[in-house]
Amino acid sequence: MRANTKTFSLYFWLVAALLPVVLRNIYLLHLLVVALIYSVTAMGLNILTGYTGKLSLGHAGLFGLGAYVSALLSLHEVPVPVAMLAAGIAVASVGVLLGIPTLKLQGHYLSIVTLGFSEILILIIINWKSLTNGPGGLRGIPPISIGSFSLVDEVPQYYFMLGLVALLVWVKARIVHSHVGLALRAIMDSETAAEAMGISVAYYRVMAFGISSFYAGLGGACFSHLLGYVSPYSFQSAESFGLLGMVVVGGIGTLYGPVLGAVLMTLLPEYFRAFADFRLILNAVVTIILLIKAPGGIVGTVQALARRRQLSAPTARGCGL
Amino acid sequence: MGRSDLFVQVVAQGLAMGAVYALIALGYVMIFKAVGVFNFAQGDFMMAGCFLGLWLVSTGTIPLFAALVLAVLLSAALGVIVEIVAFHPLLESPSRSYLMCTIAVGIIFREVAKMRFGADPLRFPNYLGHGVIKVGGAGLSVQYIWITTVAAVVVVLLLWFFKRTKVGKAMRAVSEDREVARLMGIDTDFNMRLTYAISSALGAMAGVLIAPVFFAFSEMGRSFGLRAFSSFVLGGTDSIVGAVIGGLLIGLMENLAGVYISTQYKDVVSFVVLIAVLVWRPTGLFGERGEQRAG
Amino acid sequence: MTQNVLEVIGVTKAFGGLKALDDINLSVKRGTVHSIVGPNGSGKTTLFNVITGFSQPTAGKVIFKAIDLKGKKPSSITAMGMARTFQNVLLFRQMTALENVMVARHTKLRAKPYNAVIRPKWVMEEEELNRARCTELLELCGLGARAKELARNLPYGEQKRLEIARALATEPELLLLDEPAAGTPAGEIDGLLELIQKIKALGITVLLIEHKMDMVMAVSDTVSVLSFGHKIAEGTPAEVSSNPEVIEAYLGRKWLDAET
Repeated sequence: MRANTKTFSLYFWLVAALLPVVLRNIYLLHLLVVALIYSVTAMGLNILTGYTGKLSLGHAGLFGLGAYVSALLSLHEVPVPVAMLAAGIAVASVGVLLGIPTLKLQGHYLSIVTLGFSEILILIIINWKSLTNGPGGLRGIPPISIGSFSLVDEVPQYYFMLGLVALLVWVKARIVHSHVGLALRAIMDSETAAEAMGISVAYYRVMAFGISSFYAGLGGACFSHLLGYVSPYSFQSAESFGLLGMVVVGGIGTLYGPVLGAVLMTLLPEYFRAFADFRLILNAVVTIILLIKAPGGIVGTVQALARRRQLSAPTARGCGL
Repeated sequence: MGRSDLFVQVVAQGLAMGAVYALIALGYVMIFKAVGVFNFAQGDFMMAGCFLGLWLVSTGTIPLFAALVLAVLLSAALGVIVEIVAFHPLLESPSRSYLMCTIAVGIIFREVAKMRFGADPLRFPNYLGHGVIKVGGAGLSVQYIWITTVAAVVVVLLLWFFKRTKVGKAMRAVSEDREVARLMGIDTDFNMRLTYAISSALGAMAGVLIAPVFFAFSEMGRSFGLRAFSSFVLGGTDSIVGAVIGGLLIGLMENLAGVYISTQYKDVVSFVVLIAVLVWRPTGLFGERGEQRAG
Repeated sequence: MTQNVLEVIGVTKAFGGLKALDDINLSVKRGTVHSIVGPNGSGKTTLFNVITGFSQPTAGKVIFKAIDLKGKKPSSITAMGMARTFQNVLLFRQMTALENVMVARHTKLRAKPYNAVIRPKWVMEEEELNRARCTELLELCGLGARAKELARNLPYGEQKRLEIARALATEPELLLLDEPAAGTPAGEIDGLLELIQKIKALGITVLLIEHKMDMVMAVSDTVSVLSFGHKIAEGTPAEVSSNPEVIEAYLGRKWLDAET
């Protein structure tokens, strides 16, 4: 099964790398860039929700915080790469600060706190006008530059995001398949048993919040510098649900699920453009259908099918996509 | 107008708003007791009731009060339909899926309302009257008095329904233990639908009560729903009386903060209360959920 | 090193007004199998929870390897060399049998969290050794063929044994087994008995809660009897079973036979 994973990964990245060559449609490429930006945050959400079992309804807030921190730093003359990294670290710290006081909370109660926390973040961004320009948002955010070359065209933007996503998928795969990933999954399954086996639930829960928030913050930073503007309304709680939808549709607790989900949920509404503002409804409807009909999402369902086909083989479990 | 008069006015307004939050919060309580899940679509049922009322009134063929009653009934039916189509299939799934489904339903409601009625607030016919009653130096708006009174009557009726009627008792049995109730011969599916019917009707009532004061807008379910949610958590998530007191407290705190601290951060009050309660006293002020299970 | 690996001194645990444990004293000698018996509700599992740090005693203290466990988290106590199983089986149901055991190696790994991403050669080697060690433990508990099975798909008796394998993976000096024979098919009881003896032979002290009296009698060096939160007797299996107070506590029930 490991071999299947490798084959899948190979085809996935090969197709992804060839897309700009085949695809002459710049607008579609732009959408893919947006999808890849979202997939970074969705991957972070997946670490917390899919691998540690803590349903977050507040990742849009962390995403937004990352976008604003990076945008503001770079608007104050901090080099863009430094600003982006700082945004990731800042949001990770905020995630840790959110993780510590909520250690005693389980299930939906925790989810609610993440939701409220994210709402407060956005309200502060809206109301702190002297710093954030309030509801108007920030414009003219400098693009990512490498030497004298700036990432403003779709093709280089696409390759940059593809590289970043590849790196982050790789890091996530390493985490998930290591002793740390095992500890997180143990916590998802039973916190009591994990604690009894010598795993400090507090430590790893907070760590999961930190890693997850780092991804979210980095995703936000990409949003700022690749799209060039930010508005607080891009990060409201409906967007948190949008991110969850990406994870669920792609496959919760799977490596490539959030990426596939982000791409699908970004591209799909474009085919229904006859309706204005149809994106959120479509997202919600697709998510409900998946929740009912295929709770494993695309990747989870494909894995289940593959497993059924190879039922005779004893190693047919968990191909770890 | 003196300081104490201002205070009385703010309190009256806070209580009225709180009564509205309480009505919505009762819906949260009912669904939580029945399914063990927070119904995030509850606030949007309120919005739906509001717009249904507006739509029925605008047809001009139905008398105003009939339209309001019809709006509440239609919302109840809507609750039942949603339960059958979206929620029922997830009853045995992980509760996380059910929770996400309620959020998705809320989003669909909101976006459909936005498509049909636009994003701007719409005026709702003011059937509550404009009068002001003088109490000492303070002027109390008739609107607020009506809202508080109607909500109080509804809460009393609901308590009576659960305590005294056969159907109400059956619903309580189902919320205690669905399997046992089923074995006792109670139609649990019917009960679940009735639960959704009543909780969406409660939301819709809150909607048509507050709309003359605040207009109707597609995002109202979100803002009212979250305040009601804080009330529900403050009240301990499983008690009707708790939710009512929680609602009144949130209404009071928010309006007092709006006047005496800053209107800008009025919206933050309910969130701060919510998070504070969850972090420091997860069972709410009156809850008896006992220690949370570890793992 | 003291002779007693565990000392429970004057432990009381009250839930509201109800005392689940009332001034319990217990000394567990290193290298022995020490059983705790008593009717349901006599406070055995509560005592386990207090010893392993899952619940804090209202009064009294627990000394493990001469260290007071007051305020220590269960995970730190496990890291000190104490492991437990649960009465109602608390496995990681979504993981394979092997993964269940590997989770329990956590405190024994040299790898730090960052080694998840930065993996020098020694981390890979450690992981391989670890996997081999866990496979051995599965085999010791008769689960060698089940390594890749999901825990939730195993029959109940095997789940019980997987819990023991998992607890052993933490390399405990003291192992607390909470009713390992409950729900185990009659045919597997002998195997379980043998397993406990093997564990003892490895030098691990065993604290055992069990209802199956013939098993307790066969395997224990010392037996303590709890009734309504009090310790009413202690001694060798023979001493305890002839103790009139113990027989009285069981209300004349022929408990030696009844439970077998």
